[in-house]
Amino acid sequence: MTDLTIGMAPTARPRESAESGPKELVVGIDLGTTNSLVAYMDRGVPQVIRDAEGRGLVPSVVAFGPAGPVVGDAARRMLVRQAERAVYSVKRFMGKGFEDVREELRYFPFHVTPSQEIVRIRIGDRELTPPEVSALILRELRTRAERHFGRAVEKAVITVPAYFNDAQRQATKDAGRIAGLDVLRIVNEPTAACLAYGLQRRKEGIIAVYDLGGGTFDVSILKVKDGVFEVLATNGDTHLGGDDFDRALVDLVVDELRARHRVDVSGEAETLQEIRLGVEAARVLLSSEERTVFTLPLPQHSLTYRRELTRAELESVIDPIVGRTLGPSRAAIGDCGLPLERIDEVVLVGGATRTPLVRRRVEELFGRLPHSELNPDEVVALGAAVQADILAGGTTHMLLLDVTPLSLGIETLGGAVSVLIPRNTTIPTSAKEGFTTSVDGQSVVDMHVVQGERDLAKDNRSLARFDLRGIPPMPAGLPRIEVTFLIDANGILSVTAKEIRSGTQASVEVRPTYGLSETEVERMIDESLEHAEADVQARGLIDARNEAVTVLRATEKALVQGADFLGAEEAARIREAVAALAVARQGEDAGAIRAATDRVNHETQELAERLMDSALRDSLRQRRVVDVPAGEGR
Amino acid sequence: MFGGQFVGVVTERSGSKCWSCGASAPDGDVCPECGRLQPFPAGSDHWTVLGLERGLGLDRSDLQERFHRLNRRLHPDYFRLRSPEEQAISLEASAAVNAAYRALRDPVGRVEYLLELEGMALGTAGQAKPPADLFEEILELQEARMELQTADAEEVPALRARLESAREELEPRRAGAEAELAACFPEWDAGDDATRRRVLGRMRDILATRAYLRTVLRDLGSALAVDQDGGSADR
Repeated sequence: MTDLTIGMAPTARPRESAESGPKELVVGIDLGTTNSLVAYMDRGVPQVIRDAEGRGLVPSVVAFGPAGPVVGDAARRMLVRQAERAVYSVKRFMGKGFEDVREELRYFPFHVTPSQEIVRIRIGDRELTPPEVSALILRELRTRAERHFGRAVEKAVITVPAYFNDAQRQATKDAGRIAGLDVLRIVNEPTAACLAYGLQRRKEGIIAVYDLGGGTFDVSILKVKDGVFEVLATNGDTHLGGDDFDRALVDLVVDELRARHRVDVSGEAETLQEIRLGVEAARVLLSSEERTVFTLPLPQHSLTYRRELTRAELESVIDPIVGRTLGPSRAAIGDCGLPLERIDEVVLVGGATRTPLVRRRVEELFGRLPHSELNPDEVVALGAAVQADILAGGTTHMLLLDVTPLSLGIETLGGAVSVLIPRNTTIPTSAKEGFTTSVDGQSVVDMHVVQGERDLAKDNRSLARFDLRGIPPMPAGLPRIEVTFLIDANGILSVTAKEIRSGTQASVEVRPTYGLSETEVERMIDESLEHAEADVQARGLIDARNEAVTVLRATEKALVQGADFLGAEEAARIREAVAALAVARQGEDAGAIRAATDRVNHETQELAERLMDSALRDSLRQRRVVDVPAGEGR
Repeated sequence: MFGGQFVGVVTERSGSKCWSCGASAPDGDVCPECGRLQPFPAGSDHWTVLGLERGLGLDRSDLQERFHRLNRRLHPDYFRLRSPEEQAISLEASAAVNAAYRALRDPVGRVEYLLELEGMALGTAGQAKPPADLFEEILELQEARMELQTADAEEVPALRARLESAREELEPRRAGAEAELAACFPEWDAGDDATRRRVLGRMRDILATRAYLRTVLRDLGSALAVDQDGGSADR
């Protein structure tokens, strides 16, 4: 990449600037549970990229229509028409196994194939993993950015909840790759928000970020000093957010319908989506209003459900859910090693923090009024843009020092965990651990890496199993295998191993427990390109057919209207072209349809001109009538 | 354990010569001749990485300033557009700085690291030692803690009060252990080899007591917290 849109004076030493070259184009993406957005740094100021109507948010919904996948508002509309072909909140499934999400599947209209491994979503005859669905959202954002810049966008920083584990981070990175993006960095959402906030306010001190989004909750405590944003502690729950408020409300409506109206809608996917979108709108409204009326027409049950909902009632429903954010918040405060009074500011991030109850609870917990000057829906993407600019060599006065949210350990004999890297360790970080063999001549050692805070391996998140291969044959207990675990600045783990006595590099074979293997990711990249092509073709065919129908209708009309001007030969040529198009339209060949359409247009051109002239004459005649002096025409 | 230094995987260093141009260059900084980042020598300890002499009396804000300053110089964010060698050096050097800061900023971690370097590491929980004068009381406490889990509603307040007061009694003991530890620092820093060995042994005993108290306090804390939140904070 050589051209430069943002002129930045090289701040590095002259020797460095010669090597680093011009600044690259790197965008920042907030891949949210409910909404996603893309931003970039414009001369030191982060900006959200908006569509023609000024909307920055792209609903994180993907629908699979006849013309291939659609993303955003169009997909959201499909939820209430063909619910089983639309996927939303896919972020809750990233890096998860079927068993992890089984409980909540009843809330989703789409089908998930039972399996031992990664979640697979079934849409018609196609099966998609969460990274593939996320890739479609990323592709949409990428296209939006490319339209904005008028050139290819290939590099991005993507945000994830701070409490995402290794598998969830890896899944996000894979999604980026499938979407054709080189993901330069995975950044934690609350940290990104703090970066944007810090840039805006230029304030130093201890800042707590309370981030309650659509599906995830994070709390991070940072120290900001001299442009260094050091995360002191982080905690959270990757399955807690506004979605859960809506679920509680959906359950309330469904239960009431059953109890009061003897109507069971629990099997009606589209109705459930209508209720979900309805209660979501009501909930959002109740952030500013005291009461609202929720109306749901149910013609299939000859019933219209109407119900008043007050803010107090909403709060009693969601209070237990909001309460679940307090434990992680207290844990983060405890882990940061500072008394509560040392926290200078509390910043609110995520759409769900607009809820007055959430604000009250946060205020009670931290003992101070939280800040929300920056748009809580956009601040994460803005921070991602800042980090993107740091990596592109633009911003050099800021640096993010983040932490790994969960302890990393290995399973030891008896199923206990030996912690190698404790939670809240600044990344990048590394740890070394020694291993040996238990059988004479053993050449393979098996290891199980887990992430989490529990004492037993089985209670933690299984990240991967590793085989150390290529150990030279030696008596049992003699080899000294040194394994190095490295968590990079993305919070992603890599492992290398070495046998010390012989100096041999043992090879490490990774078997991710709930992820995609390298081969799978590559296959998906290929498939997504194929699908993209297939999708473009499918859409082309539909467009061509629609165009054909429009032209056929117009021609039929013209043949009637223009009967007086038509010569017999001309009429025959037109009818022949029309017949050809009618046949082509039934076929699958978009090119043939377009050609037949062109022929009809060509044959009817003269007729159209004559009709136009005649219409013009008519309109002139009409005008003359109108021109008759006022009074007489009335 | 997690303080292990990186052995440069890409480049092995010889003395303080730049790996790229051979000029004399400082460790963990850029070469004054060619501008390339230099790794820390293999086997550097945490003090060396942060540019300090080995010692226990450290100023926390000075440590933090070094931690920030070094990361501003060698964090991988600033080397993304450089050669793969420099990227690897930056990643490893930054990981070494982070590990050093983490281990040294906390006085207890500092002593634990020193014990590990001297081959006197405390090891896992098995070596935690109860303070002799409190042994009986702690046993009783553990029983009260168990009782709380199955107690009837009317017994709860009394048991809670008992555990609360035990916590208030033990907390200062733990803080006391930490103060006792810190009091050893000047002696170790100024002492000769024999003194240092003796002081190190004493610090090891203090750590063992502290580890025990910490476990008891954690158990008490979680027993009281679970009861208080009634499971609402954590489903």
